[in-house]
Amino acid sequence: MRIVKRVLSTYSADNFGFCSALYELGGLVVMHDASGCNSTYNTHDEPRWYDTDSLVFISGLTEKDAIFGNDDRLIDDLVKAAEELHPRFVAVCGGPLPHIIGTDFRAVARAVWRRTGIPSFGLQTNGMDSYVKGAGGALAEIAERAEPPGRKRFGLPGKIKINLLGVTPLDFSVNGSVREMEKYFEGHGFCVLSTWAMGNTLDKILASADADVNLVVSACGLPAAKVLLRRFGIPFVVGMPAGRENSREICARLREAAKAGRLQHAGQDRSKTGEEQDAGSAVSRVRPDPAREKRAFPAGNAAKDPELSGEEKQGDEDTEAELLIIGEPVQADALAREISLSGQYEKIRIVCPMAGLPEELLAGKEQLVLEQELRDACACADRIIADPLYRRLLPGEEGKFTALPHTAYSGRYYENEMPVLIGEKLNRWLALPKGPKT
Amino acid sequence: MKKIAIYGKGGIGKSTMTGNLSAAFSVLGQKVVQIGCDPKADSTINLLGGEPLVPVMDYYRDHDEEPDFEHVGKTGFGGVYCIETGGPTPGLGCAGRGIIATFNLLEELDVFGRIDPDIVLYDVLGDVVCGGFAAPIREGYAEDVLIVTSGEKMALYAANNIATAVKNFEDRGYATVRGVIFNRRNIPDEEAKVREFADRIGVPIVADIPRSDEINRFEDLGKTVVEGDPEHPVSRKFISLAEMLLADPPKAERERTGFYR
Repeated sequence: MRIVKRVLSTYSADNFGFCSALYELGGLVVMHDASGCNSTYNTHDEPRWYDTDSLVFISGLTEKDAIFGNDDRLIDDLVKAAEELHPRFVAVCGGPLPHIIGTDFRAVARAVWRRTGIPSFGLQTNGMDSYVKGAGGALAEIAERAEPPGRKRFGLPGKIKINLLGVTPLDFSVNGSVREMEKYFEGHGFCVLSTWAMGNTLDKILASADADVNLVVSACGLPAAKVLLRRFGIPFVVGMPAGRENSREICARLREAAKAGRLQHAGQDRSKTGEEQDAGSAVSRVRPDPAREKRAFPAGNAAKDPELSGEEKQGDEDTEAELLIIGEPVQADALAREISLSGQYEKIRIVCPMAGLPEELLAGKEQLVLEQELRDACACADRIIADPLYRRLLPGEEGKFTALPHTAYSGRYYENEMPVLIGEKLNRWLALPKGPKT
Repeated sequence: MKKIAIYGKGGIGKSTMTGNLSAAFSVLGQKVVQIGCDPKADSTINLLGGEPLVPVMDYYRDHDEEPDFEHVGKTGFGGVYCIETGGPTPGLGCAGRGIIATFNLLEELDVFGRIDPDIVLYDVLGDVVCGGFAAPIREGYAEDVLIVTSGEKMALYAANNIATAVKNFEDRGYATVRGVIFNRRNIPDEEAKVREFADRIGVPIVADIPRSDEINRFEDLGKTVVEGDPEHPVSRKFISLAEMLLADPPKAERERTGFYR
């Protein structure tokens, strides 16, 4: 019973992450499972469903199909749909039933490709892992098929060309955050070639290997960044441009990585090139550095900063205070980095409850998944920034919570309350009075 | 890395053939991993001095936590790294799912990355009865299939079913049948029957293993005949087969479906 969730929700599933990442790219995207997955996805986790066309479908797996391992029906249906709809590609993944009977989606995709000539790929999702794995896997599949650099000429002379990797509504909503990110970087001397994968065409994304450096803005973007590093030597930086100082630092890291240039081993076999080691030097993650933060913003200065006024200022006297951030690791890092500058909290604790996170992003964080563990963590904290559903953990103490809705967790339930946190907007959001909402 | 799956009718001698082939590869200086894909979990016992190891599924049954690298296998004769998937109690659960879960675990633990084997042999239960038993021949796993058969009618029947199943998976990019291992039972016209089968499915007989009491004698001692007496004619057959397979050219990487021309 320890693992039962009595008041909490679960994060969006891997097959939904797969669909979300590919939604806008013009491909036929099919979840293989009994009908039902699709309505959960489009009703709860896909804010674009009602105003943006897509080709996302469910296969409608039946008991007979499961018993007989009737992959041929799935393949026939995919071929038929592809011939009618002329998609740019066919992508297929699955839910729990195909996982149990061991459906091989790569093999299904290969059969579809052979019969239609349409590029096809499959991913072994199971409907039980988190969206990070599905979206990350889908974007990595796209990265495996990106065109080599130099085939198309994009970008403005003299500007550092970047891609933003890991952009889905599950982490960034449809509240304008993605456009804000593009505007932020364009305003700071960068040229954004593509965002993977919102607001861009497949062609633009496929031609984005001309970038000087990639920016991984969520955990969903890391696998694609690794593929682009391996194939073309494009270095990458991990960080979400939220908060004034944090965003500036990300810009500095991007310039540094672009100056260092491409790694030379691109296109070679990973095991022979020691990609992991090189990846380490190519990655510059933006992490809080308390010593440096104290120098940059002594505690007394926080009050003088107009952006760090309001309720945040009142906490200055309580240097023992603990802040708990629950959520996506890259976003949580950005929040922690910026908030730490205020000197308001002695300790900032980050908890990432979603499964399937890359190890590299978990340094300095905790992965708590049991409801009681999360309740204990919340009880210890003086303030908690988390999706509003986490308030249910501490009835009567809702005032400790600052609501930061996360589509991957509460779906579209709080979609009108999702703030834009890009650049200085985070500082303005932090300065707003915080209190419980009913 | 060369990866080979060995199929055949239950009781035809797959584990004996696989264990000896692993031992032969190791005698030739190759680093070998042998994975038994059968709930009986007895594929590797003759590489381990007759001492069975804990199958991966047994570990799952007895522990709440997932196994770590040190729990998944054991090193046997000639440095062969032995793994058994194991499976549920007969009549319960889903053995095919157990094979897939074990393969996923090996990937998660980067077992091949850590061991860096030259050869991986999958010893797969009897017929291909469900999706899980086809897992060893999927893309990324074995590239070649060896079918073990004698001249007995039911052995050839099962061998034919296996060949047909593999053929059906052709458009999925799965493994192909490399050849037949002829494990003699000394029935009348045996060679002609097996040769006719091999010709019909269009593959060679890659090894002709005579019936030998030495195999049984060494198995009673928990050994393969290759370990017990490397110079024995039966051992030489396995070593010749290993040499032949090593001489095969490496398989080309399967093409990826591209978005651009």
